[in-house]
Amino acid sequence: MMRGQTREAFFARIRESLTDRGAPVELPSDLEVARVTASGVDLVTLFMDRAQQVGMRPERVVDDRAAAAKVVEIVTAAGRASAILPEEDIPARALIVDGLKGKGVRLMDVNDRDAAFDADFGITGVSCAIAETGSLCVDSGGTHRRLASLAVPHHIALVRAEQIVPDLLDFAARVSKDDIPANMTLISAPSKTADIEMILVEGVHGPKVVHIIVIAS
Amino acid sequence: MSGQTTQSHEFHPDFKKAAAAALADVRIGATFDRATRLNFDKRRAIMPELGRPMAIRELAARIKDHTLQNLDRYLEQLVENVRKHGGQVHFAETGQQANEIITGIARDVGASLIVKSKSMVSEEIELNQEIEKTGIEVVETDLGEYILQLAGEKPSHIVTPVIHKTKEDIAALFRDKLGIEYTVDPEALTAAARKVLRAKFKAADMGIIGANFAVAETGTICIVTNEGNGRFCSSRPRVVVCLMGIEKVVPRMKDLGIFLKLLGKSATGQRLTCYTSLITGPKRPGDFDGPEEFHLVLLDRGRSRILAGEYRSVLRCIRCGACLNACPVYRRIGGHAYESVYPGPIGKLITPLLASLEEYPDLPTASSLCGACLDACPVRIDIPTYLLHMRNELVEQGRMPWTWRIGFKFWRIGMSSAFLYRCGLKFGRMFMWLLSKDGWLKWLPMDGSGWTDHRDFPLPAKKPFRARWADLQKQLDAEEGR
Repeated sequence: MMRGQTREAFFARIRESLTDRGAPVELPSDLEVARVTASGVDLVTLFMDRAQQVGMRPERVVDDRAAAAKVVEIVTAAGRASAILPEEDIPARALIVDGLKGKGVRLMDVNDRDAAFDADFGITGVSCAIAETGSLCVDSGGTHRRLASLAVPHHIALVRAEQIVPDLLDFAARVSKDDIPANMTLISAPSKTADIEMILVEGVHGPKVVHIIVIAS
Repeated sequence: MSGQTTQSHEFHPDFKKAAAAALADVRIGATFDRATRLNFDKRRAIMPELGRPMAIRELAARIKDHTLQNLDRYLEQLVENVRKHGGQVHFAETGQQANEIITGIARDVGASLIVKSKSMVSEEIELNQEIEKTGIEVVETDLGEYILQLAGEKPSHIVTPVIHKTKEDIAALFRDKLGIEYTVDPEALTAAARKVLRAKFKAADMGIIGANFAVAETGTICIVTNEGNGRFCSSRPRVVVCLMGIEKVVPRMKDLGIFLKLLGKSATGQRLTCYTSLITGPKRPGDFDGPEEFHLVLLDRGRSRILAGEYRSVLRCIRCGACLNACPVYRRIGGHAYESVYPGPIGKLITPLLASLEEYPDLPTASSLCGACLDACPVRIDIPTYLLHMRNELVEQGRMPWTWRIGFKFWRIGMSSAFLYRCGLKFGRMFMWLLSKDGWLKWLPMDGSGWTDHRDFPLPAKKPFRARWADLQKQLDAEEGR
């Protein structure tokens, strides 16, 4: 059954309302005036500062081994814990798996749709990170698990220094027109609200705590 | 502006009455003043981080103007690209059509529970009420909107919808509706809502989202939320429906970058809202999770009419709420007095434009034209000038009281000659002396009472400034021996 209007009728009305388009306004091709972060700055430091300012917990390590050790340390510090660790390309993934198993941390079945709802930790990689805004970008698709960075109370993201881009403009430029994932999310702080009397509460629906481990040699 | 009334039921907005009632409630003024100032200050603190914020705001305005001017082209491109990625697109001229489309999808897919993230457009068309009529449960998942849904109330701010409620209000509401122990601790209240809503996210078979932006060149819908509910609504359910006003489209991904730089900062003083999701169609073959169906509902509902007229650039609005937070009128009377989905300065324009000026004749006059809204607007919508245009329309429609019409006729004559202007001043001074008492002007007749009801005026100086200036000049000349 046809609901709503036909595409033709819908667009005919819009075109009619644009009979007088007015003096042409050109679409600016150069948006560099909006660049806040140049490529020259120390991206790792800027990224970590910005992430820290909004309540995420960035830490810097020198190599994969140290990154895995840090993850194990964070998870075990929380006591008996469970974690979801998607089979995506996470830096130091094999080392992390070994480390967590060694400490008796329960690794959830990634093929269980509800696993992330029950896990204490979600451990993921990122597709990139943005220094300007201290953001992590996580993509959907393939072996990725959308809820691993969302439904868990603690998210640990592993970021390689070379994944950090300076500016939102750089992020936009690297999004592929043809091969864009079904979902890309920029995570720029722990889940939060100030709906009740403007008082900040963290961990509304998404993670209350976001750890970021930056691997920079 | 021709009338396309939006409310199905009998509804006669009376701004003056509603504003008077709001002013009489001191709690409203105090609550809104505090909340709006907080976000106002946060916005002002963070904007300089953009380096050249004004240049970026003007760039954003230009991108929007270009897009609106070619809206047909960019919408066509958006439709093509959403379809290319496997999404379905629906077209609604009216709110009723959009409701039919969405309830239709819900029935087609056999939905029994719908989770919804915040969408102002859905408020416009009263989508929830229509869904509920079909017997399907729909749950708002933004904490503020959830509180409103439980209370059966409407938002009072487009970004922070529940700022009119105190934590005591919410504590009582949650005790009554969720059966939890009375607590005014925001952490505990949020945790209670989280628990209920988590179960809903898990069980929902359909999600409804709005759109902050839509990128034509990729077919991507962008939504931002701080709580993560938008991510849940667009990731977990089997079917996702996005309801979007046609003005939300931007041409390129890089344009989106510009608007993201502005939106969070303007709305809540955040560099970027916690979660910015770019959604492009349903899950891809081989993806483990994500919706199997993605529907985009494009809604016109009067927007093409705005596009055709002199108010086109009102459609630049990105709904950040910065003008609400800056507005001295909004701060005093709050959001509900406007009796519209969109309150505050931008609401004074959008509301009559989407409905009709006949229905909301008082809104354009509810402004001192101080310009704080223009100053705050990230896309530089010249709200004060547009309000003047609307007032002009009201005059042309003969909707101004006769006292004003005569008064302003005299004003015009007086202002057109220096002699008459001086005569007018003299006459005005005499008039004020006649009505004064103990050196104060305490009462003015007719519409003048609006000025004197709440304050007394000191009488004008016995010797007017012009005369003193002339004397001073003489004195100076004498001293300098000229």
